[in-house]
Order: sequence, then structure tokens, then C-alpha cells
Amino acid sequence: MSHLTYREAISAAIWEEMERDESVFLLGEDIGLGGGAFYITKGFQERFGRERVVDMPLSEAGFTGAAIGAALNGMRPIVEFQFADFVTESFKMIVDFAGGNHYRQMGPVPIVLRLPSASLTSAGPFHSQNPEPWFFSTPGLKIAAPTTAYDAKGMMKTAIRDNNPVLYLEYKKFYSYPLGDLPEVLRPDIPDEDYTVPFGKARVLRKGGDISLITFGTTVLEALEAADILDSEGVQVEVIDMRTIFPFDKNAILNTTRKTGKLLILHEARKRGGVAGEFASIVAEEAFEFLDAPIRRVGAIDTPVPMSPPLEKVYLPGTERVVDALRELAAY
Amino acid sequence: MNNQHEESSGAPVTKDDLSHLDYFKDLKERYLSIKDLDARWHSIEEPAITPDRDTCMHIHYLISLTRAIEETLDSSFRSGHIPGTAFFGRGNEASSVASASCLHEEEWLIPMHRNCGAHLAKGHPPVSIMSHFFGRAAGPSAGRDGNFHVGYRPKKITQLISHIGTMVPIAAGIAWAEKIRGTGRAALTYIGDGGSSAGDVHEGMNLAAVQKLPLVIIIDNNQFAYKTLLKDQFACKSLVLRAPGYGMPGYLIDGTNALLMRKICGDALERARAGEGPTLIESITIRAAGHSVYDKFSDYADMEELNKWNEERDPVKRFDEYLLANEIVSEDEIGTSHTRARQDAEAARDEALKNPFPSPESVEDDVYAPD
Amino acid sequence: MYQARVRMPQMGSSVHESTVIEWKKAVGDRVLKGEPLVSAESDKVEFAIEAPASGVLKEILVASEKIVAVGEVLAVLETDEPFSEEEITPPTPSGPPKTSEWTAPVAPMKRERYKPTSPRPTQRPLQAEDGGITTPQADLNYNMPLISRNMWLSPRVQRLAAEHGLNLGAVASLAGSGTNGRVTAQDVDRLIAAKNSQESDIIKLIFSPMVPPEARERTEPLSRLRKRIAENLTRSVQQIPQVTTFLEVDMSDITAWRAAHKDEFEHKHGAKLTYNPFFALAIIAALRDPENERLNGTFEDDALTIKRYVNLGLAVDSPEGLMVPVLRDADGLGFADLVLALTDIADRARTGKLAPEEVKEGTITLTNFGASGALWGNPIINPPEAAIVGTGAVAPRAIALPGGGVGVRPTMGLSVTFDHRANNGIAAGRFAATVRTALEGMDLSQLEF
Repeated sequence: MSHLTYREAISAAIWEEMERDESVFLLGEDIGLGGGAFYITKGFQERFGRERVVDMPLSEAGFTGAAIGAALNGMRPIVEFQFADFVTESFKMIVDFAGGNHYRQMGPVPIVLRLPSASLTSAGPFHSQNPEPWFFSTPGLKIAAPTTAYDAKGMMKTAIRDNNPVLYLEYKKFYSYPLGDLPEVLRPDIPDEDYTVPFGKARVLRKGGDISLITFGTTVLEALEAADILDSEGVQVEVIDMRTIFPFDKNAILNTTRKTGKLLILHEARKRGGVAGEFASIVAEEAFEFLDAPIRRVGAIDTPVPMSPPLEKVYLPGTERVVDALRELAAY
Repeated sequence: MNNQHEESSGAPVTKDDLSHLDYFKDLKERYLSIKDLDARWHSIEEPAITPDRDTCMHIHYLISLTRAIEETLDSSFRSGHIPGTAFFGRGNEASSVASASCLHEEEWLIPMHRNCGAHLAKGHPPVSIMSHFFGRAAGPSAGRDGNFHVGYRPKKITQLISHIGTMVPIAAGIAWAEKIRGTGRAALTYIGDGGSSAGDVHEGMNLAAVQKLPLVIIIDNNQFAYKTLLKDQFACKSLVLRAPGYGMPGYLIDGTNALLMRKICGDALERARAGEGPTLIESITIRAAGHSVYDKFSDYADMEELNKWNEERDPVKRFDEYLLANEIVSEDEIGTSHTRARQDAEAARDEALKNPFPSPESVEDDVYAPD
Repeated sequence: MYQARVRMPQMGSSVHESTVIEWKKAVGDRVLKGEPLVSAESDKVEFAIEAPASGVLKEILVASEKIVAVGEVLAVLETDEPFSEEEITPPTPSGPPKTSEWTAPVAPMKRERYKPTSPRPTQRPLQAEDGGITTPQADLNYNMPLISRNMWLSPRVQRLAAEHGLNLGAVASLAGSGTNGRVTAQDVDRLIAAKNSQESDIIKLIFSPMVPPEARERTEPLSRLRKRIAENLTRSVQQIPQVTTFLEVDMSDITAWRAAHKDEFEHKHGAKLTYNPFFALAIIAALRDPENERLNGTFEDDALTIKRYVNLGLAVDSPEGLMVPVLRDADGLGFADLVLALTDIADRARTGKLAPEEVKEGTITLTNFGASGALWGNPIINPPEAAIVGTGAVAPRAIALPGGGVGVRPTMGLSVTFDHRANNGIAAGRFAATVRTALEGMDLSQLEF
């Protein structure tokens, strides 16, 4: 057992899989010589060689397409995007080619697209985005959103071994987050032996009987903080980390709704068109009779991501917005 | 593809706008100035290496079969058997067959929508192609796609998507896998004159060149991109000039000359297999029919000039003439080959029409690959 | 006209002096705030000193090539606005800016702990920019009044009701703990739990004799005290023509107020808050009206003595028998004192610690037989008093609502037994009605404790 940071966990998972399976290779900008913008692949080129850790020219569409081609021809490439925001360069390759290829009977596309996602203080409109709303409705894709080092390691292995295109969202904020500052539930021990975390299985971070708070990604921090505050006010909030955005653990959502009757869905992505809308609709369709209050959603406001700190603070769904929503739900 | 069902409108194109039909002649003059830039020009007069008789007949059959299959599909469309639309590559038969015939069995072909000949040269059974067009479950995509978005996995042929340019990086990736695994195999892909404007083509070619991938890229310059002429498509004198820009060798050839294409493409593939990196081949042909079955070609093209071209340079006719002129085969054998091609095409159509449609229950299958 | 002094700035923490290089402006020149006035040099860095305010350069005090200590005055400007020296903006050096190294964002990001003080974002709805062509907003009427709100039951509440066989009307008439009195799922959960615990009071039937033959009966003679009480009761029934008049009282407000305050009262005064003090207050309030004075007094020797003070008797069931201690001058007590006094005499009656004068000279008695669960009763007058007020259990019952319709409210059965020699039915009825009005309309906000 050990404690790794989120970054170390991702690195370790990729390293171990590259040792296990020769068909795994890495491509991306600045990953070889430079070890990557976030140093996830530091030391990899020395160990695995220039053939398997390849520095790409600045052409996301081109090298995503190439990764897909290589996957068609028996390889298991892992593409690093420097920031999730740049995935839009490859939108067509992912959505129009990779997503539908297996459905069109043209074979699996076992690629992993690593996407450093979400805000990082004042990173601005093009280094802070959450890409999942853009891809959520495309069939054939899987979207992983690990929040802990344990999940990051296990889910990276699942992603690499999965025969489908996987968008693996890495929450930049967590890369170097000091373990000591994390709530205990977000730093489970990491086994030494090989393990995987399956897609489509949520995790209950905190049990409670009054309100269900469903979230994923960076906002697990706000969720737990808000739940503590409500606890001191006598309201017990159940916090659930979805861990994967697609496939998602529908039963976890429905079961907790049945338990409490009051639901708040929270994510850092903007509220409009965010995945919370899908979860809320599912609850309305399948657990309507168990609702004691309208379903609430909290997300970023519907603007591009602003840079200046006071603006960004309003943009992001901070703990106080979550607390306000929880209190309103509790009083309803 | 661009709007498949759009009616053409506007004034007819005048003869002055059709200077591209003399493209050939102009280029021959320009050749003298681009010689130094490592782009090689091969004229129709230059003798190509003629393979043995059997190979010639095989290529003849494939070229004829390509024409026969597309004509059969065309008439099938007019009989209502094809849901959706269809694109054909009339005028591109020699170029496609000859190039793809240089591929080895285990190598990948990444074709575009006017490379029927390439499918056939690679061994894609005609009944499979037709079943696909007819939307039947037995087609390679089980009815999930149609038109020339057809691949064939047993023969390592990829299925293209409508977004033009996409396949060049994909082809680069396929070639890349061969390189990583050290198989010594190459890959072959195509892009149109219009398609060559897409950003992905730049990215794919650059990547292939910088990583020295074993890929041959053929630009099927048939001088029309739907209703857009070459002068609106690019400003450089010739698309082959992009090759030195990427750092790869480029060839500009008459694409209606099957054996010339076979030589140039064969050499390029050999170089790729030997690890010398990618090659660009610009193959000049003419799009002898409209963009799609819905396109009213005569609305924007001078049919007189077009027919003149076809008289002089129809690839099927040219190969017939070549074989006869060089006394490689007899006229009877040529006639037999054409007849056989037509019969095989019709037989494939009849068989394909018997294949059932996919069941409605299957619509949600296979969105995801299993573990 | 004001003055602004231009001083030598400090160009670095270790710099103590700088050299004046060249004046860019001359005496008499008009200058704008921020305009460079003079160049200077320190530690090989050349910089410009800017005008701290707009005005006219009146005096130059230091010539070129002179070394000047930080803070010394170099020139004086005549300005239009008053100038305070704190406003001096630090001059910018004209040398190349220091380059800072780009560090990749790998340093740990310190996350701010939640502090509930920052402004809340308001999500403005997307404004229609098409000249108001969008559909206008319908009146959605979110703030329903209390009575309607109670009838609004969420899907979960209705499902719970259906699952547990609860009548929706019963659920709707619960005092809801949600916003605007909404009946929440938790309220219904509590109701279900209460119902479940009630239903366990089922009487078991046994089919055999209750006791063995030798225990079938026993005789208990009355104690002396009980004999006296019995005599009193018998004399009352035999001698007084007493009639009871009955009324139903809506106890909603008092019930709610009591529920809300009883814990606090007990915590503060150490005494339980029962319904007795409320009944007492109502009786006293009713008797303040001279129309009802005839119900408060004693009837002896064919004469009614009307008392204009209230000595309230409280019927208490003690182990020794029925005791009726009297709280003298109950009408003068404040709320808290009343509660404590009633509690006190009741306790002492139960424990047999009453003084003899404490069971005498009552003017009217209250008997709260509702404590035993009975809904209605016709109490016996405590002679020689003219009347006795009986109160039944406060229980939820269907009653007519003020606005029409039927609702379930906590209701109490009020009875007044009166000596028909002293009063007629109408007077008694009026008194009872006043007691009811006093209970239903009690100004609870005045109850300080």
C-alpha cells in the first residue's frame, strides 16, 4: 500500500501498462523530450524509447487521426492533449470517425485521449474547460472522470485495456494537490498489486438521509465541504462521486433519490447543456414518485471562462453556491 | 460529401473557364521549371515498364470490372435499389486499379469514394460492395452506412467518412503501426484535388514526412471538386509542389495511363517498405460524370470539351488501345475480358439484391466494442 | 492655487540616492500628471520622474549631474487641485523589464477554504435580444398561500400515503415543516412512525376467567377523607339542580404555540406547560366581562353572591381521592406565575401537602378530565360554587373551517355545569361561548415568560 499523488498515479498506470503490453504507445506534444507539460510522461522516453513515446507536431486533428489509424491496425495508442480545451481541434476525428467505427462494423478503436481538464486558478478561457458536454451525446465514446489517485490509476488501466475510444479527463487541479490537504475519503490507499477500477460504478463519499448530492470531477471538494456545513445545521447530505460520465451509474442516482427524495446535481461544467441535465431528466422520468422537491443543478455560469480572479470566483460553482442550494432544498 | 441533393443553378460555364482541360499541356511547360524541386514529370510518351501478359490481362479485367460495376450500380440507382445516394469514379479506373494492384495482401488500403478500382484490385468481392450500396445486412457495414463509405476488413480496406481529409491522418496512423512493429509493410491512400485543401491533409502529410512513415498518398486530381474548378481550389501551379514542402518526393503523372501509375506507385511503395518514408503522387484524370448520381453535370461543365477528353483519354479505351497497339493480347481476348466483367458485375448485383435488409431489432447493436 | 512637490523616488530597497540627469521641462511649462519631468540614474538604471499632478512647473531646485538623496525635493509645481503627497505614483524605470521565467503550472494550487462572505452570483436569465418576440412569462404563482400550500403534496408524499394507506386529506392537514407549511416527506415519515407505534395498542382477547375463585371480589371501605369527599359530591348532586352545557373549541393556535414554546418554558422555569393555564386564562378572561359575572360566585340561602375576583379551584386526582385546591386571586397572576402556581397546588394536592385553607373559598372550579382521555364530560359542581368548567382531551377532529369546508384540527370538548337556581341556560351558554372565544382567539403574543 502507498500514497501517490494523482499525477503519480496516472504516470504509474501508463508506465505499468506500457511494460505489460507492447502495443501501447504514447503520442502528444512535448511528451518525449520534455516529459509533458504536466510531467506525466517524465522519464518515459528514456525507458521506452523514441518509437513508443513520440513528440508530435502541432496538429491535434492529424495526430488524433493517426492514433485512430494505428488503433485500427492493432496498436493501443494514448494521445496526450496538452489541455482539454484543444480537443476541439480533433472533434471530427473523435466524433465522426472513432465514435461510429465499431457501429459501422469497421472494427474497434482502442484509443485513450488524455485531457487535462477543468479550472486551474486564472488559467483563462482556453485552459480551463470541461469538455464532456461536447462529447456526451456521441455514441461509441466513453468518458472517464477520476477524482482520486486510486481511481486515476485504476481507471487509466481500464481505459487502456478498453477496446473503445476513451476520453480520460484528468483534473489538473488534482495533479499536485497536497495529499494532506485532501479529505481522507479522497485519498484512499493504493495497493501495490495490479488493480483496475471499472467504468460505470459510482462511489459514495459520504452517507446521508436528507439530501443526495451527485457530482464528479473537481467539485467533489466543494460537495464535501458543503456537506460538512449542512451537517452542522442538522441536515445529512449524501455525496456521490460518479467517477465516469459515460457509462454512468444510473442506479446509484436512482437509489439515492429513492432514499432521500431531494437531489442536487453538481459539476464544474456550465449548467446549460451540462451532463446534470441528463441525470436530472432520468430521475424525472424514472423516479418521479420519489421526489419531495424539485431537482436542483449547480454548475458554472453560462459564460466563457473568465480569467481575472474575482470573475472566475463568480463563474465557478464554489462551496457557497452549493451550500445555498442545499439549504434551499432542506427547507423546501 | 458536399450537398448531395443540391440542384445546380447559375449561368453555364464558358469555354474560357475550362482552360484546365489543357492543364496537361501547361504543365509540360511548367515542368521545366519545377524539375529542380525534386518533382518528377512523366509524360504519356515515356515508355513504362510493361508487366507480363497475365498481369496485363488481370489489370485489364479489373479496369473493365470497375467500369462495369459502377455502371451497374448507376442503373441500380435509377431502378430504386440504392437508398440514399451514390458517387462514382468514372475516369479514375486505371489510376485506382493500377496503384492498388501494387499493394501486398497484408497491407492496408485507405481509399476514397472514387477508388472502386482500388477496392477490386485489393480483392474486395463485388457482391460485398453492392450489398453495401443496397443497404443489406450482408454488406460490410451491415447497413449502417452506404454509398462508397465501404470498407472491407478481411482485405484490410478502411471505410471512409464524409469529412474529406480525415483519411490522410488515419492512413498515416495505419502506416505508423507498421513502422512501430517493424513489419516492412506500407499503406496506400488517396485524396482529391478538392480534398487536398483540407487542413487534415496538411497535418497527415506533415506527420508522415516527419516520422518517415511508410505511406503513399495519391492525389486523384480529376479537375473537379463538385462544382468547383481547380482555379478556385489552389493557387500553386500544381499540387505535387506540396511534396517538397513537406520533405517528401512527389510525382505528377497522367492518371489515365495504367502502367505508368503502376510503375510510379509500385516504386513508391517499395521505397516506403524499405523505410525511406512517404511519397506523394499527383494523378491527373478527369471526372467523367457528375459529382454524385444527383448532380446535373451539364449545368456547370462544358460537355463538348468533356466528351473530347473522353474520346482521347478514357482510361478503359486507352488500355485497350495500348494492349492492342503493343500486341500483348488479341481483340477477342479484350472482348472476352469486357464481357466477363459485365457478367460478373451483373451477377454480383443479382446476388446482392437477394440479401436481406438488416432487422430493425439490430439497430442498437455494436455501438460499443466488447471487452 | 496649490503646490505639489516633486521628490526623488526610491528605485530599489537598497538605493539611497540618485543622480539627476536631464530636465525635460522648463520653468513655466504646463505639465500633465504622469508626464516625465526629469530623467535620473541610480545603480546604472536610468529612469524618468513623472509629474505627480497636473499644473505649471514653478521652480526647479536641483540641477543636472547633482546627486540627490531619496525623498529630497527636486521641483515644485503649481497645481489646480490640492495635492497630497501620498498620491505620488512610483516612477517606472526606463531600462528593460525583468523577465520572469515561465513556470509550468505544476506547483500545488492552494485552495481557499470556504468563507461565507463573498458575493453570490445571480444567474440572469438570457435577455431576449430580438425586440421582445419571445413568449412572455406566464404568471407562475409560486408563492401559494398557506392553506393551498398544505394541499400541495409532492410525488414522494403521495406515494408514501398510497403505500401506507394514509388518507390524503389527513396528510394535507398535517402541520407541515416545509416552506410555507408544506407537508414534507419527512413529516409523513413521522406520521407513519407514530401510526405504527399506535397500532401496537391492540387489546388481546383471552378466553378464561380473570382471577381464581378465591379472588373474585373484595370490599374496600372508604377512608375518612374519601367519605367526606363522597358526602360533598352526593350533597351537590342531591341539592343542586345542575345542568351542563357543551361546546366544541378549536385549539389549533394554542396547540401550535404550546408545541413551539413548551421546551423553552420548561427549560426556563422548570415546570411543564400543560393546557391548564390556558383554560384558566380563558375562564378568567371570560369572567372579566360583567355579562358573565353571575357564573363566578357562591349560591347559599337562596342568594347568589357574585365575586369579582377569581379564586380558581383546580380538580386534582390524588391517591387520597379527588382534591380541589384553590388558587386564590388567580385573576391577578402573570402567565408564568399562573403556570407555576397551578403546578404547585396540583403537586401538593397529589402529595397531600395542602393546608386546610387551601381547599376553601373557591369562586369557580376547573376540572380537566381530558387528561384521562375523555372527550366530553358533565362535571359535578363543587358546592357552594355557582358553576364548574370541564375540559376534555385536545384531539384532532373534523370541524367546519371558517372559510367553509371541513378540516381536521385539534379540538377540545368544553362543558359548563351550572346551578340552575343561580343562572339560566342562556347565561351559562354565553359564559361558555366566551370561554371558547377566549381560547380560540387568545392573543398568544402577550404570553411572556
